[in-house]
Amino acid sequence: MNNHTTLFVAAALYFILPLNVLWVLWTHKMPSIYYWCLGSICACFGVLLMGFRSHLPIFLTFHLANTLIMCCFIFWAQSLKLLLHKPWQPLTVIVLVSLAFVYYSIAYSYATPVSRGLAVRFSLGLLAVYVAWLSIAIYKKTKSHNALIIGFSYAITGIAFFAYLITANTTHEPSPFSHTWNASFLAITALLMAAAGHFSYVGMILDDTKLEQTQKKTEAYVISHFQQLKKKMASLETQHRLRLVAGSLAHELNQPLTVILTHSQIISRAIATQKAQAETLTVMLDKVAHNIHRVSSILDRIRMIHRAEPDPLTTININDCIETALDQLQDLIERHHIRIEWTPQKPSPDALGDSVQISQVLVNLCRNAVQALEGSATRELAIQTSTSDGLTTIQVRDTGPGMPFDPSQKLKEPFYQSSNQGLGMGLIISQMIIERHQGRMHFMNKPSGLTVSVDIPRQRVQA
Amino acid sequence: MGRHLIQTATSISSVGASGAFIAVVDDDVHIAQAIAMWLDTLGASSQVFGSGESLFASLAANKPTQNSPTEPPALKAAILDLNLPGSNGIEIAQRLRAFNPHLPIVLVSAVNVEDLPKFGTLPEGVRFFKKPFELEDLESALPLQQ
Repeated sequence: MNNHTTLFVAAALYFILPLNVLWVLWTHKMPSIYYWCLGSICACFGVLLMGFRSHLPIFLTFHLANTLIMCCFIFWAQSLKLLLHKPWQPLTVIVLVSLAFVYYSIAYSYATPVSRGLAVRFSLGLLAVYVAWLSIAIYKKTKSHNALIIGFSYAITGIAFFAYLITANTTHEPSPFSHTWNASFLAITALLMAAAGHFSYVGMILDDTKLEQTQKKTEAYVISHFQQLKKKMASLETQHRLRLVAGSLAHELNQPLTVILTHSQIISRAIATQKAQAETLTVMLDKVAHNIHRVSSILDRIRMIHRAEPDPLTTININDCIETALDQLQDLIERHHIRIEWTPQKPSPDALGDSVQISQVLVNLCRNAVQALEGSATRELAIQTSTSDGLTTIQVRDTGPGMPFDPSQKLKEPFYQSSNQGLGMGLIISQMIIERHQGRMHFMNKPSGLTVSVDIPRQRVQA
Repeated sequence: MGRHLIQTATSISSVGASGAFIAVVDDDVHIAQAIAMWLDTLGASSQVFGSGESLFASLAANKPTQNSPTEPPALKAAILDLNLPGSNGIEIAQRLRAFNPHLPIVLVSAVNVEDLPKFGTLPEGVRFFKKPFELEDLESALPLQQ
């Protein structure tokens, strides 16, 4: 079998096999496949045209034929680069093809036949090695043995081109159809490239698809389990929180109930022993009434977080929320002689929230601060706001002694209560409200007191 | 109304110059006042403190001195809350015991009795009542002459 026959068989294979590839991988509809087949068709016509050198114009049999052969490597390289997710831009491909044509035109016009032939083989050898290198890169990524086979067959082709260069006859124009061993080696590698290239390409694509499917399945499995786990954890968390709230609610209600019970017992004794003085009785009954209001306000606070239909989150004015909270606490603040430091930020910061609930959080935080200030020489409570692109931050800072522990940790422990006014419950409720707003609470224990920061998103946060 | 209550409480919890008093330590001013009012109806003088630290500061200030060694000890009994800013009720009771091993001490709290060990060991002789408590129980634990 001479080289003519070998090359014509290779040309036939470069025509039939890409059709076969398209047929087998028809459903995959990947651009990489189209580039691969286009490359093969280019190879087919390039080799065919070259074979008709003595019968057709030189423009077709040299310029076009060599450009087509170079194009086949460019397209194969692009096909593999697509699989590696690093494709050339289509414009780059067009420029490369045009450059190939210019290269061969210049080579034909200005180079001697011998140097022209060597330059052509050198450039093709480089391209073959490049394609081989890309295949090995795919093998490294996907561990597909088919990619390895493509890599080897193209590498051997590259070696054949370079071998031809080294052993070329420097007096005659090199021809693929000459009866020398190096030309035959090259012709056989063209055959090898056709056969191994196409079959392994199909295998590689199928390997790749299988890998992708497996990855997708694993991912879907992990995601669904993760979501289930998240749901379970959320439900456990809610149960735990409710237990905490129930515990501190009982604790907190005990305080006013104790006052009510004590006073009612005193009143009943006073009446029984007829020692009752109208004035004292009035004071005591006032206290009973006051503490009944206290019970009702505690229950209101609880109802606040478990309203059946909470208000939808809308854009709210934070200055208004702070003002509402300070109004509610005015009595307490005056009674404890506390200096409030707050300059409303202009324009008022906004946030996506429920203004009633945010005011409630501020009431809770300020109430804690007031309690912390009891016994402090400097009694200052500072409120500061700041906004960034996505968040509004409200800081409540007191000049008290700070917490002797990490308050964010203690929130997770039942029976925690640093004072009788229900600090534990206030913080838990605040935490729940802020979580509903998809915000966060931070605690900073400083030597100068405790700072609680509340971050609230200004726009809807994607779950 | 708050201010009115405070004034009333201050007037009833003032210590008689002559006698010993019962210390009521509770950071919930309403409860402390209620207990003080009750003690007042029984003719016992009392003094309200917001924390153990303020109680000890007051005791240190009124300590019998060498100039007047005949002055009786100021404290007659103590009613302590458990959850307090600073030292908790059990810690205060332990310190009071060190001063006077026979001082009647009552601990009151909304905490369940089985959770008390979390706060410390209750010294011997200290009675514990869960809030809300019955006045009869307090009476039985305190040296009150009717």
